[in-house]
Amino acid sequence: MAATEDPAAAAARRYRRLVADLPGHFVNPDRDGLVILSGPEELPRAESEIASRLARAGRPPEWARAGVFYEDDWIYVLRDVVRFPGGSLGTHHRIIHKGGPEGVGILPRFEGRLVLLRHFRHGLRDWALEFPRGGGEAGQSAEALARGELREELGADALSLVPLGLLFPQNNLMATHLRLFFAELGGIGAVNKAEGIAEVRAVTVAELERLIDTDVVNDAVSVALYTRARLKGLL
Amino acid sequence: MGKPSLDPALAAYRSLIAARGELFGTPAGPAIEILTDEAEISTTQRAVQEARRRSGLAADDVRVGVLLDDPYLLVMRDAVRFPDGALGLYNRIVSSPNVVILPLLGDRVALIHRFRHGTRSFHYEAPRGIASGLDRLEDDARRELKEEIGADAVELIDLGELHPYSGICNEMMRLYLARITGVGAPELHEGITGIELFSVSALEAMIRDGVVTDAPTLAVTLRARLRNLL
Repeated sequence: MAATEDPAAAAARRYRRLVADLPGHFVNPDRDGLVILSGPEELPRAESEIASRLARAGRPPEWARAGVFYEDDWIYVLRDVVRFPGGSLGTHHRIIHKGGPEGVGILPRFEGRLVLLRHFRHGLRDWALEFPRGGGEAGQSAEALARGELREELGADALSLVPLGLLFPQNNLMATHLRLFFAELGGIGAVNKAEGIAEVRAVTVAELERLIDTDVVNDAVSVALYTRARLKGLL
Repeated sequence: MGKPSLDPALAAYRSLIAARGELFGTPAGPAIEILTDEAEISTTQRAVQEARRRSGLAADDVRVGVLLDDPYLLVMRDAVRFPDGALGLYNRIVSSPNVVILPLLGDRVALIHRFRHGTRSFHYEAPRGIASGLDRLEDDARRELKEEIGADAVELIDLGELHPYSGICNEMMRLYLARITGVGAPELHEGITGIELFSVSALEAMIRDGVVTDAPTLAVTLRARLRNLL
C-alpha cells in the first residue's frame, strides 16, 4: 500500500502513465467537442489557471488536477482537464472499463414470459428488478458474452439470440456501451445467489409495462431492452 | 498495510458514514453487506491482499474509503461480505441526481445533438442536466430546458425515476415530458451543436434502428408512450 505518497500526487502520476499507456483514450476527434488537455505543457498551464479560479472562490485548488483516482481489476475513474467549445477551461470525470467498452444486456423470454431478476445492486444499496446484463472481456464476441451471462446469472441456455442494437447507459461519464439481445430460453436453472441475485420473476408483456410505468422497473438497460424489442415488433 | 487510522481515505469514509448513513444501509434478503467495523475492514483488506498475491495480481492498493470527492463525483471502495460469506472490496460511485426532459412542441419532439465526454463523440438525445437537489427537480428541469434549447415549459409531467448504471453508481435520473411553445439557439459551450425536431414516428424509428442510443432518451420516450402522452 503506497501510504507514504500524497494521494493527489499519486493520482497525477497514474494519469500520466495512463496517457502514455492508452493514448487512444485521450484523442480529440472533434474541435466542436470537449478537448482533453493532456500534453506536458498544456496540462499544467490549464491546471494552474483552473486552480487560481478555484482558490479565488475559496475552493480546494487540487480539484483542478487531472488524475486517476480509482483503479481496480475492472475500471479506472479519472478526472480530465478539458477545454469547452466556448474556450473556457474546466474538469470532467470519466470511467474507463479495462475489459473494453462493450458489454451486453439481454431480454430473455421463456414459455412466453419475460424473465426479470431480482438483483442486489451495490451502487443503489438496494434490490432492483432487471434483465440480465454483464461486462465485456477482451476478445469475446457479444453473442458469446450474452450466452455466458444467461448461464452464469440464471443457469439458462439461449435457443436463439436476436440483436437489438447498441445502448449507451451513461454517455456523459463512460464510453461503455451494451450490445442488446432478445433471447428465447430453453429452460431456467438456478440463479447466482453469490452474485446477489435472489430470484427470477417471469412476467407477461402487460405486467412488464405496468412495472415500468409504475417505476418498479427503473433500470435504464432493462427499459431500453423492452423499448427496442417492442419497436422491432418482437413482443 | 500502513496505519489504517491515519489513512486519509478511511478518515474521509468515517466522516461520510456519520454524515450520510443512508448510503451505507443494507436491506433485508441475501444482499451484499458493507463492513464498517475497523477490525472487519482490516480482515477484508488482508484477505483480498493475500488472495491477489496468490493469483499473481497487483496487491499494492487495497485502500478502503473515499478515494475521490469533489463537487461532481464521490468515489469510494467498500469492504463487503457477499451473500455466500466471501469477503471482498467493491467500488461505488455517488453522483448528483439528474433531470431528463423530453420536450414536445406540438406533435414533434425536440432532440439535441451533443458531444459527450464519456464517449468522446456526438449523440442525439433529450436535454438533461445535474439537479441542484431532490426538492428542486422541477425547477432544475425548467432551467435545463431554458439553458439547453432556449425553451419554456408550459406543462411539465413527471415520468418517474431511472437508474442508468446501478451496478456501481447510485445516480438517479428523474424523467419529465415538457410541452413547449418554441425552441431557441443551441448552447454551444455545452457541446450542443444543434436542436432538431422529429415526429414521434421518426423518433421511434431512430430508436429502433440504433440511431438514438442514449439510454435515458429511450426510457423517457417509452414512459411517455406508456402514458399515452405521445
